[in-house]
Amino acid sequence: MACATGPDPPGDSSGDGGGEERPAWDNRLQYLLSCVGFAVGLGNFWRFPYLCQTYGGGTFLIPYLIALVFEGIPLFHIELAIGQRLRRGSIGVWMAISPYLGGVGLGCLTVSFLVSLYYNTILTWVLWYLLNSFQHPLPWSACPLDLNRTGQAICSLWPARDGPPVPGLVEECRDSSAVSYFWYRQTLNITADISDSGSVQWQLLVCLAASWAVLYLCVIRGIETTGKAIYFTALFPYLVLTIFLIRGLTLPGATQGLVYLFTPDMQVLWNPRVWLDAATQIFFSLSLAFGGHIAFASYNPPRNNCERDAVAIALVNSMTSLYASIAVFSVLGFKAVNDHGRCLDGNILRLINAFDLPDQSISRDDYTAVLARLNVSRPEWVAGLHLDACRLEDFLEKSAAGTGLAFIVFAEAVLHMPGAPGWAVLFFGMLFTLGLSSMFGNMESVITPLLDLGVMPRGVPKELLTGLACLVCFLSATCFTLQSGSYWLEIFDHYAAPLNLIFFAFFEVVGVVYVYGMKRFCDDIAWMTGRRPGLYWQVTWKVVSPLLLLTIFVAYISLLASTPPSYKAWNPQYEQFPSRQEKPYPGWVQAICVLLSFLPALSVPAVTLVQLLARRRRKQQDVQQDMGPKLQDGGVC
Amino acid sequence: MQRHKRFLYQRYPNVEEVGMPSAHRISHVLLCNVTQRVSFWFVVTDPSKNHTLPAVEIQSAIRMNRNRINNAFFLNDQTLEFLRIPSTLAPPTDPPVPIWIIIFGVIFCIVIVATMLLILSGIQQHRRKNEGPSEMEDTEDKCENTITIENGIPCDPLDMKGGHINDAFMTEDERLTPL
Repeated sequence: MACATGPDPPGDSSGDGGGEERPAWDNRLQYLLSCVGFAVGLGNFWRFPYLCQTYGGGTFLIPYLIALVFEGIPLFHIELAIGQRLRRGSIGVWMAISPYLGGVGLGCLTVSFLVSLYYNTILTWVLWYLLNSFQHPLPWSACPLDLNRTGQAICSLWPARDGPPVPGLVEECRDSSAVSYFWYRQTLNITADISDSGSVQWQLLVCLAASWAVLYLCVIRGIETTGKAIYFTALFPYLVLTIFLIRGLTLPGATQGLVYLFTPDMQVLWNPRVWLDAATQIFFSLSLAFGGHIAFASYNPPRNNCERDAVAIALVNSMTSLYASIAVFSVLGFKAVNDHGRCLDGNILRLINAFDLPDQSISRDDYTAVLARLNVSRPEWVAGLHLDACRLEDFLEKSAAGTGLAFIVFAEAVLHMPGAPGWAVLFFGMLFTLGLSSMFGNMESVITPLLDLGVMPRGVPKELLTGLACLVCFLSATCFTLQSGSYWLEIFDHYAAPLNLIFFAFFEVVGVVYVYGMKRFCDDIAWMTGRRPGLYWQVTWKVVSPLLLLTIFVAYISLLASTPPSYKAWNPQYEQFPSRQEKPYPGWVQAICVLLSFLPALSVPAVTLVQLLARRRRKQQDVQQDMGPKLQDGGVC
Repeated sequence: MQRHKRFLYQRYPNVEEVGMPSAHRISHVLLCNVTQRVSFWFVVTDPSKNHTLPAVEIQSAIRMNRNRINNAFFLNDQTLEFLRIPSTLAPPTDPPVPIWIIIFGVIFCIVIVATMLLILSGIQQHRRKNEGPSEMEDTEDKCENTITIENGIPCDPLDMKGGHINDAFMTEDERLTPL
């Protein structure tokens, strides 16, 4: 007979701390959009295309699809199923499955909290760029002037190479580029070293307050309000991606970019790093092990086909990644061709000036022929000119991942499109809504377990809890508005989330399959969906996914341990500026990295220990009470 | 970058309108090193004193009147270059209040107002709900809310209130069905 390890502790018939009916979605579409919005985030935009391009384009899709089928979809299905069946947030679900596994829920909550902090800071940067896009010319199109106000009239994006140093432009900007200067100096005001914290940047602080205020407005009443907001925040990015795709495909150079992206390179499959990156990309792309999907599914009606939902949402997520990479690379191809053309023009100008040739006598197509001819006739003159080697592949390779893609490469690409401010507004608006819908999931994975635990006394309204949560997160995130904030954000991004999430996912699978029981789980799913899970599900849950997760975990740890942790600093005094200077982390920072990697995961053994001690104490009390008459304790526990 | 038509010069030419004290004519501007491209060197002589004018004075004169010289040739700074005279850049038009602050203010105000409205409506709903059930507190309600316990296992009514499986019921079913 099922008893104490069953789903409901007696007397608690609802999962809501307020003692009311558990909130529910208005309709199925809201639930699907929320899950899609949570899964589709900034990573789909700036990580997947970069991986595709690094690992030989079309070939990367092979390990990606394999990881999706054997790791992503099974894990996703488990999360949706247990959330829907047990109707609790992550902590409640794991306490219900087994009190010894409660640490998994607590750890998920902690990781979600840490991720919310830095994810919303990225949104702050996006908001800052969005606010600055409403002007013409865009502020990152030209270098600001130095005090004496002289210099070459062309405030070009290329550093000055002709002749003596040009006074008039700010030196840091002149040596790098206007876009980089706007990002590193006028936005972040970054220091050269992580131990140098600098001061709080008030413009970022103000934008941080605004983004947390917007987030609070959307999550103020839980899914009641996010359900309304998600219609816009989940669908708007698709609209903008389509617009960018159409615009990008009509720009010159789009085909070069797409060809470069999708050119397959089969050799890449032998590199184990590809498989590791594909597996981790699927994992983080679907936002697994945060507890957000469990929270969303817990608001579902109990008889809902979670199997179909899981497969559909995972496929939509992957399709979105592909779609986004096509849009991104058509624009990047345009940018590369543009830059290549300007490089050629610079060389042509120098040739014409040096050899006194008539104006416009060398076109871009003739350039190589003319250069070859001149090299034969006057090689020493040509060598003295120090022409740049203008190769299109070099410019195509300059793509980046992460914030570099959005705030430097894409911001610069947008400058060359006619009607630049409009495109900039669209682009940063899309990034903001992409990130916002992911933040809904993050905040739900923090708030729902807290509500289920009943942290606040009964009379307190939900708005107060969400307000307090947002306030605490906002205050904690102010450390990222320091001048060294972006270095810290990288640390959080690399160390706080990945290892812990893989660890929790492993315990999720093992906990559901071996502790809750595969048979019981399959019965639950049959009750909910009307169909028992087939062989594919059973095999992946029992064997394939846990093994895969264990392998990824071990591989990831060995990867982190093998490379000494270092970071790339923006140091204007560096000899090879504008290249970023590679610096090792100081000791105390490394200690923080280690702490971030392991502290959330420690909650699992910690809670197990606490539960063991509590149980032993209860047994001792029971033995003492056995002196009196035996009570009829019907449950065979 | 546009093609430059370069004037390579060492000394300044003098233009009549500049207002130099002595009367200079175009004939006092001497050209040399003329190439097929429109680029050349020139020096300006001072006929009265019979020497060439110093470079620094002419350089500052050119910088002052750069715009008029450009307009005379229908050129601009990109297409007419004087070597070693960097052009003066126009001062940036900084609006008194940066644009981003204006838009930020608008968005922030909207967000604050909307949040206040939601909080107030939430408080109103809460108050209405509190007044409502307090009138209906009879014994009948109390009976509905108690949970019947049978053999130590709670029997939840089989409704959609949580999708909880009634343990006592379900396990019996499982035992009987295979038959």
